[in-house]
Amino acid sequence: MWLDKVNVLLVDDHEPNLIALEQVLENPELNIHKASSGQEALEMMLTNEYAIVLLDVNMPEMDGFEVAKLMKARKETRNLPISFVTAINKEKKYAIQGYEIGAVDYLYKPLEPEVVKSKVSVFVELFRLRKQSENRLNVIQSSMDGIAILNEDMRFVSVNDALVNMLGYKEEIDLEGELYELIVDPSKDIELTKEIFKQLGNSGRWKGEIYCKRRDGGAFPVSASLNQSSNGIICIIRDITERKAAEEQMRMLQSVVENANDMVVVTDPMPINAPDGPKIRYVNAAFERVTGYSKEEAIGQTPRMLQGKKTAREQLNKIKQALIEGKEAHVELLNYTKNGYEYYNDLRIVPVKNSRGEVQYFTSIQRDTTSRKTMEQDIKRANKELETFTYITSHDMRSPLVSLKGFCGELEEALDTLQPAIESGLSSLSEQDMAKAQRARDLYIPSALKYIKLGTQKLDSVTGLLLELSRTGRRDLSFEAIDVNQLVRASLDGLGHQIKQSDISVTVDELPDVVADPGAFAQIIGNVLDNAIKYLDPKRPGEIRVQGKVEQAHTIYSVTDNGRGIPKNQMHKVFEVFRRVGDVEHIAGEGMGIAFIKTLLNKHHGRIWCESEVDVGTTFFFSISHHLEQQMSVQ
Amino acid sequence: MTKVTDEVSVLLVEDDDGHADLVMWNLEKAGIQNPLYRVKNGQQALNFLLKQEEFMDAEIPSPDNLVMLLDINMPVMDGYEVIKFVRSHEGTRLLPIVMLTTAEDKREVTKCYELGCNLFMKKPIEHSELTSLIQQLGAILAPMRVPLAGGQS
Repeated sequence: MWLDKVNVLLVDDHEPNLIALEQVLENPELNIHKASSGQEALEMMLTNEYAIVLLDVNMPEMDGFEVAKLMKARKETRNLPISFVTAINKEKKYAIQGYEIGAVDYLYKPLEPEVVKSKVSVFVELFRLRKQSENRLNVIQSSMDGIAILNEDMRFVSVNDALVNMLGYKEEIDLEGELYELIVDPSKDIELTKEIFKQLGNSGRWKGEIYCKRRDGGAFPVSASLNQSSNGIICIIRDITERKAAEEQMRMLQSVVENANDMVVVTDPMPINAPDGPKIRYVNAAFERVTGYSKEEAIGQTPRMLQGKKTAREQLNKIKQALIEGKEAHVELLNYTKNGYEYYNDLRIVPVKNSRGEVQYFTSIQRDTTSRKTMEQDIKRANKELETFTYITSHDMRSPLVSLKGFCGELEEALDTLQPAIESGLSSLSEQDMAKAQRARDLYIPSALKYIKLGTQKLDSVTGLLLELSRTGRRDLSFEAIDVNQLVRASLDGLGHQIKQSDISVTVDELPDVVADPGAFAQIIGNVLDNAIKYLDPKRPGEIRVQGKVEQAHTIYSVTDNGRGIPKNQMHKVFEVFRRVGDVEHIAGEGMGIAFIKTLLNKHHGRIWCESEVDVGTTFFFSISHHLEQQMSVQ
Repeated sequence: MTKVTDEVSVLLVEDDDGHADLVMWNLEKAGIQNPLYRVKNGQQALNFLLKQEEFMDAEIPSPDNLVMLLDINMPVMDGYEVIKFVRSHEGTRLLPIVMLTTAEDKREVTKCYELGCNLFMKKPIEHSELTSLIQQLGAILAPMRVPLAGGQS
């Protein structure tokens, strides 16, 4: 065992005495300090710790008894053992005085070296023992765990600081004498308490988690270890409030992950390039449900078991690249279930890094998007079919329409050709028949022809528009940066005649440029302007204002008129195909304009909407996405 | 009386009887008296031009003396196929083709011109239009078939 050197203080006003004593005590285990006066000795005692002071009684200025008295008066030196060294005062009287003051021993001159040595060594040993127990106590005191000893009455006899703090007391003394219930709270769980004491009785020890009671009445979870010893029950208590809370949190998160509707897969960080890739560490219930692999089957395998011949290589490479760089990736994959069924998997993979920035796991959140994907495909197909249908029907309708139109013309001409014959034939008829025939010639036939022609024209223009609408839907747009101001000017020039005729004042603000299909943009702005002019209120001079502003994701253009406005309850009809709003019998147009615009704007990731007040006016807004710019810059 | 040339006949390729009648009546009204032949689809038109199948033994004019009025949408073989064939076949390469269409679909028009039609007409055709058509055709035909235009000289 390694031992610290122990200090011993020799006090004598006589230098030769000090040297003699030092020689007697000379020992590698000792540090021998010497003081030549009481004053010096007292000063040294304040800075050093001594196992014993050998104090000469007879000294000038301050004698040994006086020094001892002063030592006893000071807290720091009170317990320091004193052995008086004296030649003269051999009388009992002095000896008693010395003991009263607190001396533990007397050494009489001439000193017998063996006696001095053995006496000092006893004190050195005592000092060492005291130090050792002090150190042990320190260890106990400085422990983070609460430590206590319960006596036979199940009361605390010794406690450490940690326990005092834990239980909400100030000092050890506040806690000592309290009952065991503070650490084994029977009111919390009486059965457990009985069980604990039963086990302590049987095996002398118990270990587990219990609740401790704080001074303020609050309880907190601890892990406790109780041991029966000869001194009583030694309790070691560790506050696990934080651990419990973390566990609770963990359990909660675990449940969220486990029961999430999306698949969650956690894999090892490595090896990315090996033939089978990183192994699966965890999968949740949704994964089992979608893929058909149970947890047991999946864990230890690699996600490659989900891939198949139709799984896109470039998507997999995208994941691989992200994994190598320790970055996130978001892809859509075609995967395969255990039974070989295909499913679309929207997959987001995220590296989980430790505090040093090293990847510890990859977690991926995956969603089965098969139904969405199928639906998208269905919608696309349906749209395509609808477009084709519209195209074919409107196209096929034109053939009979052409016949109707053509034969109407033929009939008209034939009627003209027949006029002289009818005229001459009329005279041979009876008066009654002639009147009928005249009526047929002058009213019935021309009217019938007129209405057939009108109907044909109407059908013709509707099928024409339908055809155009289906073409718009199928048309591929090409996006480029366009000069909006110039386009709007051109559009207004086209409407110049109407504007002049109706004496409309048109204000065009400086408009922001945008990336769009130029033809489509011209169609959109032309249609909106045309609408604004058409729906002006004839009762007051028309005013139209064109504005534009750039927002975060869109550029928005607006056309404001002071027209008749749209009633609130008809607003929704504005954007329906073949609808026109209000009393507009005399306004030309088939109500298809807005439908075109909607289709075109959809292709610009934009939309059209309006605000309107009856008799005040209407503002039509349309937006064009800035996203198109990005698409273009990618190319 | 207007005539393309005495030697030229008109081949009308049209599946719809009504449309065909309208064209024939208006040709008549325009005073065009050249012989007129009508077939009902592209395949028949090719048979006519190549004197095969049903036309093998028929007495019909050679492609050199023909103008074709061609509908686009037809069963069996449509107008586009006919133009393609005519323009790629040595014996018919120079045959003047007038397309007849029901709708003014830009793409349709472009496609026909790209394939090599000479003129384009929207149905229903009126005789006044036919008169101007014949004049245009004359202009097209003159440099192409100098000897054939001789009837007018």
